[in-house]
This record gives sequence, C-alpha cells and structure tokens, in this order.
Amino acid sequence: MKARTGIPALDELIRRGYPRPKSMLFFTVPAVDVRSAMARTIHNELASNRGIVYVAHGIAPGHVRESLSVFGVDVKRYERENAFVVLDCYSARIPVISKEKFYVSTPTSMEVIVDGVNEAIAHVKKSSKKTAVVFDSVSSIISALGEDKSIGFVERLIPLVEPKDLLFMILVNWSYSKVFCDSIKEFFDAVVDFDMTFTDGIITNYYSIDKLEREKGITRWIPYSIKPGIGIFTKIPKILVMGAHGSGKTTAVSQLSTVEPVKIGTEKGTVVMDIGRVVTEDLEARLIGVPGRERFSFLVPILKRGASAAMLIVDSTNREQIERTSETMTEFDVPFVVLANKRDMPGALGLKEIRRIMKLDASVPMIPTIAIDGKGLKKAFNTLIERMLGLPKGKRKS
Amino acid sequence: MADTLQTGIKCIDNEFAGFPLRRTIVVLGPPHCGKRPFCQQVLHRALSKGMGIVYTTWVLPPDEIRSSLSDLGSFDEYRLRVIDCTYFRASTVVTRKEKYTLESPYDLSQLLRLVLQTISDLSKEKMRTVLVLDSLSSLLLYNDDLTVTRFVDSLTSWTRELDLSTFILLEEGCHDEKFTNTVRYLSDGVLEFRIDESEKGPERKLRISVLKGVPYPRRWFCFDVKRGRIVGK
Repeated sequence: MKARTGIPALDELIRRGYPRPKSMLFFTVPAVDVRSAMARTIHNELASNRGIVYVAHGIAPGHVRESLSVFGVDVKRYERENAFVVLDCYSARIPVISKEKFYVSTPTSMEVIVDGVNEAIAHVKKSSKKTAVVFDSVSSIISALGEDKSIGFVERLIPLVEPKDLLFMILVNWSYSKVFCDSIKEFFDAVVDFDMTFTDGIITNYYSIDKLEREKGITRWIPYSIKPGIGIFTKIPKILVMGAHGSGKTTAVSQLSTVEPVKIGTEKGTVVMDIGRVVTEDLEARLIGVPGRERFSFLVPILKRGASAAMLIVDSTNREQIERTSETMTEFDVPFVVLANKRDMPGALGLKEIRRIMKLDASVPMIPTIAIDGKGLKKAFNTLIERMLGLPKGKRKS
Repeated sequence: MADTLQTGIKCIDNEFAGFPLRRTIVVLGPPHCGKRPFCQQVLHRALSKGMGIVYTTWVLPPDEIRSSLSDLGSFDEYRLRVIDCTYFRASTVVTRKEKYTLESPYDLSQLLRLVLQTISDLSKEKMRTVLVLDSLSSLLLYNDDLTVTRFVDSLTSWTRELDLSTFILLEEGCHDEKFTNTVRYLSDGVLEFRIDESEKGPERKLRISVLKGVPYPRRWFCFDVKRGRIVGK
C-alpha cells in the first residue's frame, strides 16, 4: 500500500491514479510554517517502515526532533531502531560542536554534504529497505552557496536517491527570480506551493499542488490549518448556502452539518442565518445559510465577504422562484453548484428545464436533491469541494 | 490615539512633530553611539501612549530589554512582546523561557512568522504596534546580503499592510556600502548617529537624514546618554 503523503489534495490525486512522486518540493513564501506541514509526511513514511534521513542545514537538530515530537512522531524509538537519522549541517555554521552521530563539518561544501547524506542513507538502509531524505532547506543552501551553485546542488542530490526512495526538500522563496524558481521546480516530480494571508489579525494558510508528473497547476489554492497528530487538513471558513425563502436552505445546512447548527432568528426558515459545520477526516468547512427573504437582502453582501464557495438551492416546483434565483448567479465570483431541491414533490420540473430557465452554463453542476431526506446533499457538497479545490470530478470520498 | 512617535528628547521634539506611523525607519550609526537607548526611549513613550511593542532582540537577552525599558518608567508588560533571537546561541545549556523564540538564525521565515504571530496577538486588543529589529547587523552574521535584503523587503511591505511602525537598527561601518544603501532605499526614513571627537571628549550626535512625506529638521542634534536615557544638549 502506498503511504499517504499527509497532503490531503495530493493523497486524493494519488488515489485516483497519479503515480506517487519520488521527489517533492515544499515551496513556500516566508512566514509559513511548512515544517509543521511536512511533519505528517515524515510520520507517515516512518509508520510505513521507510527510514528517514533528515538533513538539518538551516535548523538545529534538537528543533527537528522537537517539532516532530509535537506531531506525535516517536523520534526516540525510530532513532533507537536506526530508522531515523539527523544529519547535522547546522552546528558547524553557528558554530558549535555537534553532538550528533552524523554531522558535516563544512556545511558550505557541496561535496562534503553529499558525502554526509550518502553515509547517513547507508546507515538507515541497514534497518529499512526504503529511505526518504528530507532536506531542510534549499533556502539555507542558497544562503550558503548562492543561487547558481544551489541549482547544481539540487541536481546532484536527486540522483543520490534510489528508485524506491524519496526526496523531500523545502524552499522558502525569498523573492527569487521566476527563472530560478522554475529551474528548481523542474527537478521535482511534485511541487506543493504554500502561501498565506494576514487580514484583521487572522493568519490564513493556503496550499496548492503546483506540479504533479509534469502537469502544472493541478489544484486551486486550498485553505488549510494544522492540528498536532493530524497534520494538514482543509479548512474552508465560509461556504454560502443561498436560495429563495422556502427553497430548503435551513434543512440542507442542518442535514449536512456534522454538529448541531446554530440558527439565528425566531421565525421558520432562515431569518438571519444558519451556521453549520462539516467535519470529516481531512476537512472542516463552515456553512452559512443566507436569508432568502427580501427584507434581509442588505445582509447578503456582508455574508458574502470572504466566502470561498456557494451552494445555490432552488425549489424544483417553483418556476418563478427559479427565474428569480438565476439573477443572483451573475454576482458569483466563487465556485458554486446548483441544488435542484424537492425532487420528490409533484410538479417538480425536469433538470434540463431548470437548467434552461436558469440559463445555466453546462460547466456548472446541478445536483438533484431531497433535502428533507438528506438525498443528494453529500454529493452536492463533495462536487462543490472538488470544484473549489480544482480536483478532477466525481470520486471524492465523503 | 497618537498619530506620531515622538522621541522624548526635548530639543528634537520642539522642532519635530514625530515619526509618522506606518513607516520603516533605519537607525544607522557606528557601534555604541546610542542607537539602542534612543529606540528604547521612543518605545517607552509609545508604550505609555497605549501602543504595543514587538521587540526582536538578537544581541541582549529578553530580560535585559524588559529591565532597561522598566528603568525608563513603569509600563504594562502585556503590551511588550519580545522575540528572543539570542536563544540559539545557548540552546544546548539553557531552557527556553520566552513564548516567542527563534530556533535558528538561518530561518528568517520563522522570524517573519513570529513577527506576524506577535502582531496577531496584540491586534486582538486593537493596539497600534511598533516593531523593532535589534539589529539587522546580527542577521548578516548568519545570512547572506541578498537574503537579508529580501527579508527587509518583506518586512517593509508587511509594515505598510499591517499598519505597523518599524525601527531597524543597523551598524555603520560593518557592512558593505551596497547593502547599507539598499536598506536605506527600502526604508521610509533614516536616522543617523555619529560620534565626533572633540576637546571635551567624544560628542554624540544624531539627525534625521531622510523621512519621506513629512517635514523634518535637517540639523544634527547633540546628546548624551545618562542612565540609559537620551538627554539633548
């Protein structure tokens, strides 16, 4: 069985048939904690009996152990079993005397580092048939060797890794030229990009699969968070559930939500808003049911702010309402799906007819639903997530 | 709420309304000329006006920073966040004490993350924040010029975006001219310090050599450092 990489979107793609990447670059803007994102990857490799050589060039060996322990990796055990080795290229840079069994005394020499990596791999190979080399980080090498030599270094390091082995490298992009970044990315089978925003004191992290098996731009930017012991999980702060009054929004939010939704309002139906939450193994999303009554229309632009995606619900039996709803679609600048609800009711219009009335583009998915019984809702939700993340459609597990 | 940061030095404040917020100011001068006491005086005034401070210390231990600020008068310690960038030197013998600690001097990405984290923590209290990098010269001991320049570039863009005021201390005469000029170029203002030898002994002076967008006095101001406090002459 293939070990999961710990990067949910990448694991999803691999499950669908992409070969597992042999070399992976974690490419990030400054300030993103990509090391924590990588901890799960290392954890999974160790758990599937692959040995790890962690090359600490820009980080202290003690901190490597500490950050992995936080994520539930039993570092001491794996070190005892010779499955985990830290190659210390850091201490000589500070400089302090290394306490590590494997260390490099001249961390600015490409040859010396390569020899050190070889020696560490040979040690791990005694107990683990397969090995992964984690290089932390290319940016540190750039700082020590300069950009040109660093390209040569990466080029030289990749062949050290045997066919059954893996290589993971971290690169913090300190505004390097596009040519340089593209040259580095070219060496890797897979590139995971990391980015962040800082708005109103809130840090939001994003990742995307930028490259996989020579294909570029595989996924959109995926908002994520990191939990110790779990690693990266997709975190979508706001998915709007929109539609006219009585279309079934409150029911849909309630059925989809894995925790008891919060209802703000006293009347039947969505008065101010419904707030639901969908929590799965690798995803957490907040659903916001937007009020459908016209007198609350002033709230809609406020609730739309910062939304990542939308579910648009129409009552399949109500032609006039469908016509009205179609007008709101023009305002969407986020991925959305249409839920043709109340399919069990007499007089429900055909899906083709609804699509025609709404003048709906063929690329926008329309999912038949019976919200009151929960039918079709998970499919609609999964379709929306696939659209949002840019994953190939149809097979997302719920 | 204050719109400027005054120096707390009477002769300067009489002629200068103060440093406008949302600016990156480079504090440039030879070693031991009074840059740090000057900054701490500005910071102490900012603290007393209800602002938050993020102090990135590469030279002195965090406790020493807290203590020298306390010597200038009491303040709400909650408003002061110190990022300890000295810990890595002693990491094998000393237990980490600070909430915000840089693990590796090569990991400027972590430093930027710590800066954002501290600002995020302070912004919960809706505080205007002043950031101090003490000093940029220490970063250069471990990182190449280009990486440090790019770090300053990131920092200045965050300064504008996050409504910060940033002071960057830089030792004069320790780095090549190209690096110093690039940092000057990236900043919004430069505060220059110098020490002149006179018959009475060394004479400390400072002036604002550049400050974009606001009027400022061009002359040199003479000063002394007495018990950690800058006193104009």
